[in-house]
Amino acid sequence: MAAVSRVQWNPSQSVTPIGFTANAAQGAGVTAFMLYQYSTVENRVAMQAPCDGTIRNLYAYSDVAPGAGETLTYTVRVAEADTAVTCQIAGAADQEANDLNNSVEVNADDMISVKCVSSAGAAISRSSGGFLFIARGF
Amino acid sequence: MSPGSSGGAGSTFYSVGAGANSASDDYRVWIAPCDCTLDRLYARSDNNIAAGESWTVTVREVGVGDTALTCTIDGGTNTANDLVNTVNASAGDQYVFKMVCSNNGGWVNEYVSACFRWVPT
Repeated sequence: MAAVSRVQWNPSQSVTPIGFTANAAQGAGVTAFMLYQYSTVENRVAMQAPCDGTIRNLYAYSDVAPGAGETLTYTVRVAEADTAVTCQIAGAADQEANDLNNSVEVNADDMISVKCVSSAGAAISRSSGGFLFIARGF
Repeated sequence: MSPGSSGGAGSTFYSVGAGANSASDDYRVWIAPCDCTLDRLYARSDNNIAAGESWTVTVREVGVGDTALTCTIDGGTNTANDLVNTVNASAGDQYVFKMVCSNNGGWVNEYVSACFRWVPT
């Protein structure tokens, strides 16, 4: 008989996948912010956390590899500060990266965004990805 | 959900997700994936709303009307919330943010985002 794995529902938590996407191309040497759209101004794209929670499991994807010796670095931002949740797409072949190790605590009303920094010679790219928001306090 | 939307003086529009605004409330919607409650509405603008003006965000159920979940960013501020009201949603119900910009003569366009919590029931 095959083993059956079950995901146990924790009624004190609610896990919501949050996607982010850049609706514009990002050039080389640019620091951009994205969530539901793209801007070089963070507070035009950030959203507020509706409750306390934890962010983890960051995944990032670029439509093109950044190029040999080049990088795209993604960092979850909370309350307008970088967090430990970060990953990097590097080189001429990679188009994906993730951070499945780090997490960050979020308070209700904190601004949330994803920052993407392209290195000086990175290819023009469009990014997307997602992370988990694990709500607490209900 | 983060509309990241900007509107003009006296305008009413609807938005969910990216900054594509519409005069129609069913252009882009959020669909409740299961029976749930919606609460804890937060809204913020990238800069303070101009003095004497306001920006009202209301969660609207498509085909039904405005819900009680609403808040207003007043002039001179850039955040608002509704931590009091709750909406009971059934799986498949469609919702959108309704944005109403005032028109008192001093309007300056800003970018507004909003979100609410949904809790499965």
